[in-house]
Amino acid sequence: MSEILLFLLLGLGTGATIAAIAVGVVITYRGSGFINLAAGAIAMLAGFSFWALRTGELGFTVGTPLAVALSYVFVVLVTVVIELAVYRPLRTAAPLAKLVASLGVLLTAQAAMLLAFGTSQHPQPAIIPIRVIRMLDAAVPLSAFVLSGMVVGMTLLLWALYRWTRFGLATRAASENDVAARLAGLSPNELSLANAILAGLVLGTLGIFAGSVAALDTTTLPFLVVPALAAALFARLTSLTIACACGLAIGMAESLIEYASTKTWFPTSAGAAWPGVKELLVFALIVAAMFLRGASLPTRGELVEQRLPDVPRPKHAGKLAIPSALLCAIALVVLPFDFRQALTNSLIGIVMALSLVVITGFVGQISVVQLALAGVAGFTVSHLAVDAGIGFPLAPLAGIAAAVLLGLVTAVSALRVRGVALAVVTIAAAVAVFNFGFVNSTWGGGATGSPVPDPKLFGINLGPTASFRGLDGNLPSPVFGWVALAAAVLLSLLVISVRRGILGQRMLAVRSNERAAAGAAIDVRNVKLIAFGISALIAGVAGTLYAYNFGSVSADRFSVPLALSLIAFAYAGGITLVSGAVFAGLIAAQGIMPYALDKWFGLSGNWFLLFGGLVLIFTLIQNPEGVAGSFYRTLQARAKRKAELATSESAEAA
Amino acid sequence: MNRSARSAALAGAALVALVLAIAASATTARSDRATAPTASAAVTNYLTYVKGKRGKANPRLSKVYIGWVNQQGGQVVIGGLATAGAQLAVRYVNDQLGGVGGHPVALVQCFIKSNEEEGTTCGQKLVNDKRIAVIATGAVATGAQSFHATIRGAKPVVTGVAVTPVDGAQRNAIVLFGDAGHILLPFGTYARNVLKAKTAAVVYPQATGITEAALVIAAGLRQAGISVKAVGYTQGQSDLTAPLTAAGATTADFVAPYGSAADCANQANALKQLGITDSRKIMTAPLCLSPQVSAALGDWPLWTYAIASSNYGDPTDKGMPAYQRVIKRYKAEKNAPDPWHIVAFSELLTTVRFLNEAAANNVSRITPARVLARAKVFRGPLALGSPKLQCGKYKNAPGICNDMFQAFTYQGKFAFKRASGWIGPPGK
Repeated sequence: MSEILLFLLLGLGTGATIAAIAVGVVITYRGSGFINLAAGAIAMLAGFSFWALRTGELGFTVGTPLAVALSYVFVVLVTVVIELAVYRPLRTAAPLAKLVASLGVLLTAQAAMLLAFGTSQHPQPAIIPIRVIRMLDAAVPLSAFVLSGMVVGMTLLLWALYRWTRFGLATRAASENDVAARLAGLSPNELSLANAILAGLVLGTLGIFAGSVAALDTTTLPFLVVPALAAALFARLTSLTIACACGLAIGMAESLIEYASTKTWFPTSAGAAWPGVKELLVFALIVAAMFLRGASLPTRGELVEQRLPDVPRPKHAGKLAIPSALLCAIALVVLPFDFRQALTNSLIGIVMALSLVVITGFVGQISVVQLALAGVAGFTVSHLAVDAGIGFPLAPLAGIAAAVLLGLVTAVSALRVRGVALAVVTIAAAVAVFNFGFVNSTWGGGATGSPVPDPKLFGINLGPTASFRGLDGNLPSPVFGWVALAAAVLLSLLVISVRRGILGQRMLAVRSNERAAAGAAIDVRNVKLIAFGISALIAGVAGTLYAYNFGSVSADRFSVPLALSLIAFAYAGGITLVSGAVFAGLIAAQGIMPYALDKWFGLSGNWFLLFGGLVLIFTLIQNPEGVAGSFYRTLQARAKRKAELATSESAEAA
Repeated sequence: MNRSARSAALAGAALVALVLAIAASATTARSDRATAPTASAAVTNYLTYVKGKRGKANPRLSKVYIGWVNQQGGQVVIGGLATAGAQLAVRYVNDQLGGVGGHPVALVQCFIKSNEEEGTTCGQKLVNDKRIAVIATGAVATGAQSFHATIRGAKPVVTGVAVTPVDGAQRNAIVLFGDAGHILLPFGTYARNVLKAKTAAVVYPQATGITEAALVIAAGLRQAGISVKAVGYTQGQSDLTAPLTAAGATTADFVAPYGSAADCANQANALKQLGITDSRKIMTAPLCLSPQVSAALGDWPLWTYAIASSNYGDPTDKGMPAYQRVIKRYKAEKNAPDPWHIVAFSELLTTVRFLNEAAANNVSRITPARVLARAKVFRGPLALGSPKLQCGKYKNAPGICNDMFQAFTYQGKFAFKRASGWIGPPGK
């Protein structure tokens, strides 16, 4: 018993960091109505500011009190700039747009710190003394008590502020009913700004004081947002005290799992305790939160209904698809090998983005787990080939089936969840699949990798090493590019036909209003399940293509940051359109555009991360419907003007 | 492992160890049964090592190209200075060692920044370049799988220290200094013979490659008859007091924190918080001896390091003065102590040796197969590395050439104290 108590106490430090970020997420949601994925990144910025001021990184050194004060000023300034430049222009945009914008802020903040201060972790000067307290026959760090005490104290102060002040009352009013708040003379914009500053101060406190608990780098604090989201969801993104308590509890539960992992009864894989059990716990907690605390998150009565971009009915698909496919097929032969590979990467990226067009664009389900589904298909292909000697086409079919199966399991959890809440569930699912599945030596990537042999059909090699090597005679073979092209074209046509058919109309009805759809005799559950199934199938195809493209499967290719980037760039491309998927494919990792930017302008790595983050934010503000949506709208307007001109001319002639 | 080969190696090593034990007055550490000589086998003359000709390479002759791949420029950089080490070696070879058969050597570089796709891109770039007969790699984790899957054995790949187990598993690979899966087994030897440890704690982040390596440490400790508790934690987790306590680190005789360079600072902070500060009983791999870690902590952690190469701060290493002369000549003092710089410098010199052997005074004879054949029969001593190499000793990792290390206790400010000679896996 004393050991359990000890490990509960040892989890306080981690719990406090999770709790602080969860409180920051709740404050932002109350003030602005969106889930801030960049909450941990704000804490990181404050940490970097304090470190730079204390260590002379900026050319001068200041004392601890002044460094703390200046770091608070910095974090408030950053918060104000982000609020005014990013979130306020998107106030009436769809929730997904705001979620993606916060992802853009996260990417930009990470890239800026990487470029400014390098990839190293930095020695954050600890304000809280690094001492231990001897208790329960062990040493417990003092910082764990101090930091958790600070977070609990801040939470109670904020609770009092929201409970007993006019500002708190106004915030609660605006968060419950935006319209009524405006009628009462309150300014939601000002309230949003004030709450953003408050969240910034909480997160800044974490960044400055967590030096003795959390490492100062560009990943540790930013990605603690995932368990923090679990705590925030338990609090229904409303209660500060519940978010704080849940954050502390998650930290302590994780510590207990570490203790349990040393026990003989704890399941093992290849001699090591199962990895990813903590992430599985967080996922389970989020799903439990959804069932226990209600399916939907509190929404605000808004002046303007916030919805995803339009889904225009595709016209002339064949006319566009056939010449484009022909051009692409020829390009795969005539292009030099490096651009041939970049084009192949783009084609696979298009397939991956198509899965998001179906599930998010058509049905409005924000699923971050799609890339993980692709990973499941990829690993299945590898394991079947290596462990069972099963190759093409049975292995990819089995891989796709596995992806569809997991997609349907995800769908079951989505039946009660929608919108940004589903995004949170699927982020946690993606983290759990990555850590519990892909990192596991037995069913994920093995110690010596997960090789994938070339696909061969009737003795014909269809893989990147096929004997036909294009005009330059180099690897990769255009044959695999053609396979990827065929998959991209066929799946694009499938998605177009779904949109045109009765199923597509039902999907749009569900996306628009589930209750109204049910009222119109649409089986919402079945529509969702079918949509998840189709999108998982497409993701599975992408996963098998990734596997054959690389000749191996690596867990890193299916990580959560990449999954978030995928959904962000799919949204920026135009998440409701097949042409949007094409844009997303063009900017996929090592796709045509990133490769060209790297080759011709040397823009890659961290600079590309910064560029990507800024372009994402700019695109969202300028074209909330994405590049393809904006392009489509321009074409439509031009066609309309042309038609009007023709009508007026014929009238004049008459 | 091949048992007869191992027995022969152990017998030979034991004989030399006997001689060495008399001479090993510089160290307080005890030699192991598997200890091999250091000083007598050190490479002190790079000209004879690379089998070159004194003087400059002839710039009018065609160049001999070596592919070079490293992971740098993205969010994760493991051995950023490996490229500088490789470039220095090429410059030195062209200035002083006559290039390859008088032809200047040039690197065709390809860097992986952050995507698996870049491994494929680099693989294609180097495998398609017909001028390149051999590829050398620095510290590559991201994209390692796709890189090797693209090369598919078409060209030999020479690696200094392999970051992932994928490299050593390739038949066309030559991993000169070894990889985690093999050079970590002697942790057990060190704990048993030097510390007389009975209990050990191993903590590691749960990540592909790292988990397997930590299990190798645990296996080595168990082979040495030591009771082990190994605890994994989520990669990126910053507060490590709970996993360390769970592993029993506070009371263990030997503590092995393992991970990538990004994990070292967190591990060091947590150990310090728990009051575990005996630098001899905390042992890890030299991944922590990186600028990234010294930047994070102000200096490297005061632990003992299992180093499969020479150590810049070791005054007893007879191979080091030759390296230091090159460093001084090219004013590269800033990068010199970095282990990745040392390893890459040695790796490129060794690659040039393979090329010179394959050329046999006629560079047109150089083919990937000839280079690979020469590399596979190389038995050392390795410049700035192990006194003997055993490429092909492990059937499941045919690329691995070394499974021994030297232990050094870091005393701060770039000062090391030798804690053992070259030691191998614990005997049964």
